[in-house]
Amino acid sequence: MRTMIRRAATLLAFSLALAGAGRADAATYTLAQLIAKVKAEYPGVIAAREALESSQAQLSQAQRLWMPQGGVDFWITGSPNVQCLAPPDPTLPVSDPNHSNPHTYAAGVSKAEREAGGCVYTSVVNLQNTATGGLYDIAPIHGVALSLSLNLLQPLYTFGKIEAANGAAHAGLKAAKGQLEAAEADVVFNAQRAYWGLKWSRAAVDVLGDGVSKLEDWIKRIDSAMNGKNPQKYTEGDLARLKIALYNAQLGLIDVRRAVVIAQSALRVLTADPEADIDDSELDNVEDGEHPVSFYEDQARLHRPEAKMLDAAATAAHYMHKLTLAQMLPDIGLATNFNYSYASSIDDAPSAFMSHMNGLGASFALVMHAPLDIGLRLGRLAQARADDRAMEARRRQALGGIAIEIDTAYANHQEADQREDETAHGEKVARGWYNAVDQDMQAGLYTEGRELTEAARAYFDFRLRHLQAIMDSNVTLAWLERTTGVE
Amino acid sequence: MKQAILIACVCVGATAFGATALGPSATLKEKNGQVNRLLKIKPPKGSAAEKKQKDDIKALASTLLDYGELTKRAMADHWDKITSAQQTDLVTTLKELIERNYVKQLRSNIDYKVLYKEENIDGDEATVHSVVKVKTKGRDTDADIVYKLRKVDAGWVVWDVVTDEVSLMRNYKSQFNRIITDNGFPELLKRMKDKLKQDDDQNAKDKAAKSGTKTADAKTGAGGK
Repeated sequence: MRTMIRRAATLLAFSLALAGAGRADAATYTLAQLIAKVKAEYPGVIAAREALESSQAQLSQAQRLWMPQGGVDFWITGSPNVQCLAPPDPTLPVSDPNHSNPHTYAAGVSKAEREAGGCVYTSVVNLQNTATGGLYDIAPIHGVALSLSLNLLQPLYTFGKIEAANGAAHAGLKAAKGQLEAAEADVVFNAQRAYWGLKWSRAAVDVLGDGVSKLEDWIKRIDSAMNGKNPQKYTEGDLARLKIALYNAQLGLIDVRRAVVIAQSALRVLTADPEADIDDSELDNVEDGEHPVSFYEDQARLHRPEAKMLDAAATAAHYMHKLTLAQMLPDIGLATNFNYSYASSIDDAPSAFMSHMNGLGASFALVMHAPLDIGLRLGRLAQARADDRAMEARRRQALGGIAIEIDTAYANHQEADQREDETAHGEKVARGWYNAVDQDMQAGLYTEGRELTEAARAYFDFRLRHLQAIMDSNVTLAWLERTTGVE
Repeated sequence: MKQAILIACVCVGATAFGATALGPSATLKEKNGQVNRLLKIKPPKGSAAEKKQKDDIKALASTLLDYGELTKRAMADHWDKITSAQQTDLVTTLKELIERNYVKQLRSNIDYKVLYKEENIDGDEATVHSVVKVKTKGRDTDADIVYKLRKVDAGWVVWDVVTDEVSLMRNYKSQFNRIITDNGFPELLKRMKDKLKQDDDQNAKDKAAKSGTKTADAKTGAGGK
């Protein structure tokens, strides 16, 4: 029994150790690792990648439209007995004065010899004559019949249909590439937002936690001083101010803890890893190139996925218009046909006017196919022309929207950057003030109770605002890069 | 953060020893190393070694920070209105307050790094700019510290430390002026001495409480278990 318990305990300890090891191995990502991970594995990106492959296949189809089109038919079946009969012999005693009753060939006469005889009479013809023919002549299988037929059409000139289809497929491929880039850019932006959001919220929790513990300490000290000689002349108002500052800090703490949970959840969804976490590098400003807004606008025209997709969509609409126009015109091609058929138990009558069950043939022809439903096609052409113009107008409209988006993203980043500078300076001054008050307190020179509260509040307020500004600066830069397609 | 700035001041304080031939920045850099070495010693709390460490730091600070000049400039016009004895008393009291404050921070185990920036020398006056990088909760903090030095026979000594745009000397100056204007110089000195007494009382209380706990622990047999 004791051994069993020991074994169970060992097993439990081993399991716990394994569980612990699992937690210790939880992936922590640097920003670069996180971006690489989501770009490679996020389902939205995978879907876009598959859609790109589908577009590549469509282009491949369009490129093969110049290849011969056609097919091969083959069949094999049983064949009935349809044989040539020898003509009636007029020398024989006549029971049939009209000599209408044919005779079978003697045994050993070949199919070719039978057919060479004219094949005027067949057993099938005599089917109706139930006296001499029977069901046996048609129903049972007397041999094998097979047929092979090959038809090919080589397009020679399609009045631009194939070129238009190729152009549209190329545009489709570009659009799919743009979609993949957009999917990647979206997930990269979301990853950056989750990363910086988590860094910021954790830093804010630390700062507020620090602030709360300091405020609690001061409240105790002031309360104690007021119960004693109170050389600093603290008032109830000073104490109340500190308590209110404490509640404000605690409210802030609740809020940033919520932000930690949200950012963590976003990170874990993006990585599809319930244990995913980020590295512990410091929340700091990402360096940007400090370019003018015109730089980003130019970059967007070249690199933004949506701009590429709009160009591709306009091109595709243009080619669809061309295709619809070409579809009103004929196709010219070279048709090739090859036939071979064989039926072992069927004799063919040597007549050009009859279809033969045994034969070999081939044909080559220059063919033309022209549509006749011109009315319907004219309607389609008008629709494609309007779609082409509408797409171009939409492209211009969307490019205008992108420009506004870039201007807004740029302005937001500038604002966050400037706010970061100002709050950094504000934090510095507030820290200096807070230290000066502390120096006064340490030297017994502290005279103004309110100053401690205000200096402390200003310091923690600016620290938090500075952290927020750094995160905003990084996230707005990420969004600016997203809107311009620059990495 | 506060601790880092105080330590930075202590670092400044360490520059006076044999610093005659060195310039202001070089003096600060060399002595920073000495203070760091001193701070690396972690004697047991309340031990003789800890007392010695504190005394060494105080000695460094008292030799380096020019308390006389700091007090004189902080007093401004009031300096000449008090007697020589009062001047000496004020300098001694302020020095004791500042030194105690420095020493308090010695065991705080803070993680910091000092980066020296530009140095400007104008005759016998100099300023040295530096940045103290301190590990703080949430995000590391960079504090700008400007040392104002003057040349004396022993070398360069610091008479003001401007931390994050707040001058130690000007801060004292405004407080001194406010108290002297409202209540006179004796009140200023009284407040400072009261603070020293208050700290002494607090230390005595803490010591008594600690020995009380030890006694109680010894009686219950819980101490040190």
